[in-house]
Amino acid sequence: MLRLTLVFLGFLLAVQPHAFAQAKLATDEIVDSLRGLETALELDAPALHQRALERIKAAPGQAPLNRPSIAEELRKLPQLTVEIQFNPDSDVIRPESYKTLGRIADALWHPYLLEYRVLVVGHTDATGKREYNLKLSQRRASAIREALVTTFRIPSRRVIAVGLGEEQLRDAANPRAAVNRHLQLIVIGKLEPLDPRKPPDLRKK
Amino acid sequence: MTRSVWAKVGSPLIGLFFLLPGFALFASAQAQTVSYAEAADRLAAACGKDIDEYCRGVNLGSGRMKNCLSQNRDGLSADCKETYTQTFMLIEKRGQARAAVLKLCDIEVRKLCSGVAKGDGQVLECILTASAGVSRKCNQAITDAGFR
Repeated sequence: MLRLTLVFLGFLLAVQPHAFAQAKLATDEIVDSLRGLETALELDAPALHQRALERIKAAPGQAPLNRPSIAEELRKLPQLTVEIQFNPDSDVIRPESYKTLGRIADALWHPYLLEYRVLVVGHTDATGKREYNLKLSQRRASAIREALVTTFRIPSRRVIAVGLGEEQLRDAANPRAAVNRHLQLIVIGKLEPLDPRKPPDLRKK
Repeated sequence: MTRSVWAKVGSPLIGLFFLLPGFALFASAQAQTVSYAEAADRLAAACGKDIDEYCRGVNLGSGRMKNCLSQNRDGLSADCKETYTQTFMLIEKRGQARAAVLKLCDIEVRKLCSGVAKGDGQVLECILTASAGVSRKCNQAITDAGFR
């Protein structure tokens, strides 16, 4: 619960002798995982967060074991989970995770993904209070978005952040498992098609 | 005595004199092609401990980490002090280059990719796969952006 962890298994599998080659490989893996959207999703991120909050308020004492997902519709979209470390109880990204963040940004600049909008989803495990977890995951997802948009110049309209706390457990049979402290990147749709009379969208922020 | 000292020290110095500009060119060519991942990794490797000591509650985004490191410059380790400004500059340069590619390749886009110009990604793919008819300016922009 105290750390939002994104587990990107590709990093663990990738054994490369050279650091730069590894970075490139991992970036390509991110690109591959996020390609191939078939049907875009009309997503209202604040409404989704609100839905999670209302579910918590409706049944604050509900046990987390096998809790159903709050947003089942996200599962069918191209996505991956990545490991990002934060300071405890904080939305401050640890320096150890800067490289992963850089890889994500490199991937989002790849031509295959350049036209797509990405949802950054923060999750926690089921330790601690549900409402607190929901807020912490939202702050952490927002911190990731901020770094992508401001430091790595991903156009702001391409990245949406939402925190779902412990309302979308990856391993609902083990609500406290570390695997639940993950962060997802989900491709949700394309940017609006270009008007050919206008200059390319890449120049806009 | 003086002459023999120069004979010993002078020739490596002269060698260095010729080597340095070459190294600088090499370094700048390298700098142009540093990915975000590589730049971010350099920053974390050089400044991880300094960040924990001076900027622990500070996030990377919106220039906050850069500002914090600058404000605490005097206390930073030599490695971090040397690395952080250059690294943020590399990240900035890469971002600028990426944002500017299609503008700098505008002529090529119109000439070579008018049939596929549905979105930025497809246009960029078209330009990246075009083997002929791409100007030096456009090619340089693609390199600076790390797309090739």
